[in-house]
Amino acid sequence: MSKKLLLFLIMIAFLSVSFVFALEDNPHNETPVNLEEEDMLYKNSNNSYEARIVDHANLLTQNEKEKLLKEMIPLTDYGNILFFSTDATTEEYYAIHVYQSFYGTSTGSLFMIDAEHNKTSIFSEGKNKQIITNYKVYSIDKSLSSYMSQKNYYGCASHAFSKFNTLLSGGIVLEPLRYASSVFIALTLSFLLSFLFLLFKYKNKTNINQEELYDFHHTQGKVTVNKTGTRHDDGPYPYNHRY
Amino acid sequence: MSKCPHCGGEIQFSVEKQKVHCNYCGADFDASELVQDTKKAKKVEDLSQKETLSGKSYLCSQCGATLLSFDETAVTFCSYCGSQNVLEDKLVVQTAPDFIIPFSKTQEECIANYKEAITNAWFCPNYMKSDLVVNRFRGIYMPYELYNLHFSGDCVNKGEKYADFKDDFIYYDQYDLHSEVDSTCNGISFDLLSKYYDEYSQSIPFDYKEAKPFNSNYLPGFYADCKDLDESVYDEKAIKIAENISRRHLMHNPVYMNYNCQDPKVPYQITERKTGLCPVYFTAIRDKDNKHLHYAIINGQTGKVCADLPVDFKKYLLFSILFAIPLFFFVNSLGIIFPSIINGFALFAAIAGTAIFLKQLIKCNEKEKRDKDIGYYSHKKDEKTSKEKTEKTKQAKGIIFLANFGIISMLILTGVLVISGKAFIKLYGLTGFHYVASFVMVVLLLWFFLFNFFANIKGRVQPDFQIFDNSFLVKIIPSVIIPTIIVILNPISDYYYYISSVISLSLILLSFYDLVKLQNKLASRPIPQLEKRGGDEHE
Repeated sequence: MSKKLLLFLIMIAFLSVSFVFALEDNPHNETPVNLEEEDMLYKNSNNSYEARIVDHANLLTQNEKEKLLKEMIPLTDYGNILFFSTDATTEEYYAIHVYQSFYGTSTGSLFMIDAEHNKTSIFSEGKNKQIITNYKVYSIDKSLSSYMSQKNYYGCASHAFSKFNTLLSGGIVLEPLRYASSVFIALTLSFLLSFLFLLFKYKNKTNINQEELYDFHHTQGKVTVNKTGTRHDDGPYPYNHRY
Repeated sequence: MSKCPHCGGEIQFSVEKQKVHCNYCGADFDASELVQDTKKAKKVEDLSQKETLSGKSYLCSQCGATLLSFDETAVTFCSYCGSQNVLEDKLVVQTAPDFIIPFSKTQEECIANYKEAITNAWFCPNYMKSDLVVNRFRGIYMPYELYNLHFSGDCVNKGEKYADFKDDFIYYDQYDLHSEVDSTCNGISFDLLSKYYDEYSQSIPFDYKEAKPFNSNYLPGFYADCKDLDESVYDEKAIKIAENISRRHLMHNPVYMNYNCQDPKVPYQITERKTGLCPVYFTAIRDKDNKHLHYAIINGQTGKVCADLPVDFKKYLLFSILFAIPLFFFVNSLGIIFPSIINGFALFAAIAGTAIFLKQLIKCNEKEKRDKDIGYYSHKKDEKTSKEKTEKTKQAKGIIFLANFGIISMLILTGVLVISGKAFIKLYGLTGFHYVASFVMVVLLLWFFLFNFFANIKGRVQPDFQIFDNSFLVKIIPSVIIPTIIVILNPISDYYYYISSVISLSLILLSFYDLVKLQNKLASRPIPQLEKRGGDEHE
């Protein structure tokens, strides 16, 4: 294998390993969640999945909670659905901890509003996780920024659950910018790979050092070794030399 | 030249029959038997008297190339430059070479191989296999030199081993490694024409076991070129090739590695040099702008094809667009197309494009100057030129090193950013470390571009060597700078990332036209302007 190819493979391996290490791990935190306090709850009689609203930060009015619960009920066909709000300082990955505190690893989704930091979090588990992927979460999150900036928490949650419903029922969330970007990336990759393929295919293969081209015979006896002398080089700390 | 012993008519060597054929009476003769008979007929007492090579030379008034013809067929165009201004010059008589490898593939077979090679080169324009091109293939005997090398005896190489570390000095014991070696390397060959590019002759090796003692009866029906290089020009290179091959055998013995002998050599001696004629089918195809040539050479013994293959941009574009369709679905399925990722990809693609362009440009320059063509430079016999050549080669190597260093640094930095877990996934969450890393990345990029820019201006590289083509420069620099600025500024709105990526990727896509243009330049040669050979050709 040529040195250049070996170096290239090492670099690709290096970047791939780096990428794997860059993926986030699950957190370890012990912040307790008060499981007793629940504002609204609905249990689906067919599959015992729940729709639950836990509004610790008091972001929603009673009316809004009732309306939101009605919108969450259809989502129980697919799994548990939880709305959670908090105004306490939360560490990273708190959303995961909240959901697992209520439902463990059961299929479902959580929508959380952190009023302290004015940010939203979405977490899914089980089958829902395969549908509401990282990019979908990112996309939905971005679409909620206007609601959050206006502190329209009901509108924010309603919009989020509406997106969940579209995705879980098999619908498509249009992401025109993403598709356009994918087109550009695909074209660039295609042009680049085609050009590299062209370079490889068009190379006139010459190797004048190929033994097969010549009439080569070689016999070699045992190698004997004779010492001829000694030399020295500076050590790792040359400034310590005594002169 | 022999005549038909039956009817006295003109004879030609028939590739299909591998015999000498008389076009008048249809008789076939073995080439070597015909020589003996002819000499007997002439009552030549010494049958081992060396033959001469005589033919009519045709001189190209455009490039100065000469071609020898051995029958009544006139030369109507020049094989080296495609010009039709070819004049009959004079009768040439030379000392005959030692061997000849006769044509064993017919022109039709070779053209079929050529057309297959063009078909396999997907992006090659169709005119390269048109009748206009293939009908201009001409069977030419090229002068070659064959080396036989040998060494037998005690082969001594130097080695050393770590001995001690004392008083801040590291001591190494030095050794002589002796080995009884008997090594032969026969058949190393080089062309003896300064105008024939070395890379062609090395791409179509011949099997010298089929070489026959020289016999002029193999020549009629074909052409030949006369050597214009001294026979010792390639001595050093021949020895080096033999040394490279023998090194692999020597290194099988672990003693050499144990004693840090990284480059063991067998001191070959040249035992024999033979000159001969080797068969090629050759043609030169002029570019559309009539300033460059594409050469196509086919080995007349094995049928192997070596050709300059240009790229049809329309074919390349169509292939890339079709290939982009499955890639689009693949990219979409990855689920990681965040705006920051797209921006980072645009940056990476711009750097990759620049690195490819720079490497191609340097290759193009080396090819035009023929830095590695030993025969070409020895023919010039100009000391200053050879010094300049060494200097230019060093500078070109320096630029390649810088280009590689720049791209490797970029990749390492990217890897560092990814390891910290915040770059490819969530660039918007940059910490101070990332700002520093991004800043260093930009500084490296700027240094990479500015160094080459100033190097060009100050003429540290040869003055006529433009490192950057202007149109490529205009496209690629903004496509690098814009995404880098976005990475550092880290705007909140995704639209900045999208706009930056679209601009950058669009410019990169446009720059591929320049890359293809450069590849076409690499696959073409300047029209030769050769010195006319004058004086008495009798040897």
